[in-house]
Amino acid sequence: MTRITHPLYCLLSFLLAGFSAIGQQQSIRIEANFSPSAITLSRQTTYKVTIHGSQQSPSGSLPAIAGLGISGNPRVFRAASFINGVPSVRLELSFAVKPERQGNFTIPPWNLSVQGTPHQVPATTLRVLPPNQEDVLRSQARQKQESDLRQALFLEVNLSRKYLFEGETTLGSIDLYIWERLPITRLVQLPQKNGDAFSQSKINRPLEKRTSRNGKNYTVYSWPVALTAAMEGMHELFYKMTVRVRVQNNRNSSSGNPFLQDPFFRDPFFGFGREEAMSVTSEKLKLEVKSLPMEGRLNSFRGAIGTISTNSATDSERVTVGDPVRITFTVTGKGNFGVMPAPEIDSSEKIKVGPPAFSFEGDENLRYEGTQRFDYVVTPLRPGQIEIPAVPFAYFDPTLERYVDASGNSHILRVDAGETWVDPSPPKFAFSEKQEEIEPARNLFQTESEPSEWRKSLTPEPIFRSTAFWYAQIAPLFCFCGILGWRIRKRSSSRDSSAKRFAKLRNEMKRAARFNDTLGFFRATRGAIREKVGAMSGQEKPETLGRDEVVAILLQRKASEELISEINEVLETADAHEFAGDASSNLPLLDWQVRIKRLLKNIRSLA
Amino acid sequence: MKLLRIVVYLVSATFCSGVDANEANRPFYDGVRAEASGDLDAAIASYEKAAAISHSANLHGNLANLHYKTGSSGKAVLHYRQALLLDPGNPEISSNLAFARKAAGLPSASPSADDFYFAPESISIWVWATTIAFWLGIYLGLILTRSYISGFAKITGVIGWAGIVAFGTYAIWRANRNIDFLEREAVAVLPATTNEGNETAVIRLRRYAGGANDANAELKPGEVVRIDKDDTGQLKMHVTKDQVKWYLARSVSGGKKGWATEKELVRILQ
Repeated sequence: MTRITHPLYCLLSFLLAGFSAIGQQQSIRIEANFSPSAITLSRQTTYKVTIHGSQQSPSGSLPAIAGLGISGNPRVFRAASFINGVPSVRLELSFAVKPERQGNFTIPPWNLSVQGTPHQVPATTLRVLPPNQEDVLRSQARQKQESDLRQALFLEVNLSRKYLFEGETTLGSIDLYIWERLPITRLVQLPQKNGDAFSQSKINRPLEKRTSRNGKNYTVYSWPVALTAAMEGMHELFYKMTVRVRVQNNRNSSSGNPFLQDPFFRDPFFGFGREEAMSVTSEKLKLEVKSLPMEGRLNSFRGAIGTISTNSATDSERVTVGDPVRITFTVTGKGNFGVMPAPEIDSSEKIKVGPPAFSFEGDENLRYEGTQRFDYVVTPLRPGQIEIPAVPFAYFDPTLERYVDASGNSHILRVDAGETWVDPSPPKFAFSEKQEEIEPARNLFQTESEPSEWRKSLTPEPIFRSTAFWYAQIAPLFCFCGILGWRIRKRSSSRDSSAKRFAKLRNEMKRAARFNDTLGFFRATRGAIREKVGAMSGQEKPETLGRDEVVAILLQRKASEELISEINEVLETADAHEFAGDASSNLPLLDWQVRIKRLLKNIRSLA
Repeated sequence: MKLLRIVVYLVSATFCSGVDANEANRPFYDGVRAEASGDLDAAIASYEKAAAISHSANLHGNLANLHYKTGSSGKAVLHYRQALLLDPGNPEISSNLAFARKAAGLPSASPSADDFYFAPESISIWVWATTIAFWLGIYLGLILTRSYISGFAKITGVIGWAGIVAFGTYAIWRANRNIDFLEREAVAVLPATTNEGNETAVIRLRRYAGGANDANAELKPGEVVRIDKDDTGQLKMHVTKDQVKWYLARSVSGGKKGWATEKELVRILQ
């Protein structure tokens, strides 16, 4: 089903909102027809839906008809007019239609929603006739034109091998043939490879030459390319490129002027033309990429494929310990130099081998034929006669289809002990002479073949000069402040609650004294003394303090004996009232209150 | 946001240093190869190219070895000092430096506490140790104030902690002072036009900044001096009309003082 939606719809509907308002007043009528309603098979027609009385964007789904290709993006046309002084609006939707076979095609009635109201689009029929003579001639002309063009401009891919091995590199060329009479103005795009199973060298400037084929003269642009097979299997490969051609301005000119009909003036070489881009594609090559055989594969094989020879040489045969020696391993011939990994020489207790330096002599772009050099720096670590092992190297020869061992020769190196140094400082102990004899002399001025850790600057940067260091201090500082704040808050809240409890007990004391409630008075008194003493000693639950504990705290605070005995007396009286119901105290409660007030003041002075 | 910026800066700084290191690898290996083939001048050129990009102990060590072999004892001492800055514990570089100094006729330097405990490169260790001790003390104090340990123990702990922090602060100050000294230190080197192999060749410390005046004192190649500072805290310097830069320097002991060109006095932290 084709959905009728287009952003242009919305824009136009806003612009013509005024007419839409008028349209809303009119009754809506929908017409549908093919224009033209009968066509031959090779032609196109238009399916047109006209909505009278509205310019608002409709919504609905066009039914799909088998054998008819209907475009999903209709052209929209809005019109407004006055007929006999009455405003009239309409909206036309035009769909491009291309038949796929001959016959009669009917689009059945379908629903379209206009201004929120459903309306039916009437059915309409298209007749598709068989191709006529004109169509046949046009088709033949087009085929001939294409055939001529294929002869005038074509792309060829030439490879030296019929099949490749996985990882093998082969040399080939991409040739663009241009008929001498074809007015090519420029090559827009270099040949583009299509075929993921192959990697290729960079395509540079082409070689230009002239050649003749089938009686036609051609200019040939040839790009040499090195192709490397990346995946095994049967793969297609073709190239594509774009050129610009000057074509005549008016191909079907009906001018009757015989002067302008002259082929000389119709020749686009002499102006009167325009440029057009033309795409050229080569024929698809089917290439087989074989996997490398497992049989006979050598341990030293690391992916080198080609027809090659090797050589190994050293620049020195006698050195001192620590002096580097250069081992040069060269690989010469034809092969996959672009992807050839460096062979590895392992370091040992006697030698240290640095990473090799690469250099290639030959076409740097193709890297197919030439000499690849691998330079190793080998540092002898021990004096004596040292054998530098052969550079392990094996390759696969694709013509012989077998592995070949081409490891270099091993080299014998004579390593001298080098200059020695004796500590010039005087001996510190009596037995140091003997020690010097035992201690091996240290070698001086040895070259290090590996750079140690790289540093951007020699200047030691004090960490405290960096902002990051001070930011790092924020975390412990915040943590410290947080803990300190929490502690202070906790302490003050505990103090607050102690003060509140004391105030409450003091009020109870006053009230009990006023109402002559002896039991209540002494209970509150005992509580107040405990609270005061407890707060002084930092007790969290002062109400649990016993008499002895209160006395002990007071003693610790160096309270006077008089104060302690008085407190003892008050607490004993309170206990007697509480537990024995003793009411022997003859002192009026108001006097007791004055006395206790003084006692509490004395306790507070101890804090 | 600022913290994010710092993180991005640190990451990019790390990345950039890696890029520099990779760039410096190539001339370093070129230098090794040139040295292996006996072309010492080309090797020195390659190593100096690498040193212009980045620094490593082995790079400066190799460069110092080559300068020593080619008879430039001043430059040899300079590069050994630079190598030691990057790898202070390397005994081979220390031995080579002592040997090169001896060969240049310089007195053997007896190492002091400033060369070990308060060496410029030790400053980060001191900073971290002091910071950790400071915070550890603060937190322990916070925990132990409410504990039942005796007042004597508490006071002893506080005094001990304050002592450690004070010593750490002193060590930081001293290491920082040594960094300042290091920033001012220069090695006397004979310019390339002079034949340094000539034993009589010396670097003159002039009375004034200019080539024609009398020498106040003379320095042997490889001798270490400190450049004075002016009132603004910058190195005391004078640029003559012929665009030659002169430094006012004095020997570490303070016995020699005078002006020399920047080609004669190469700063260790150049």
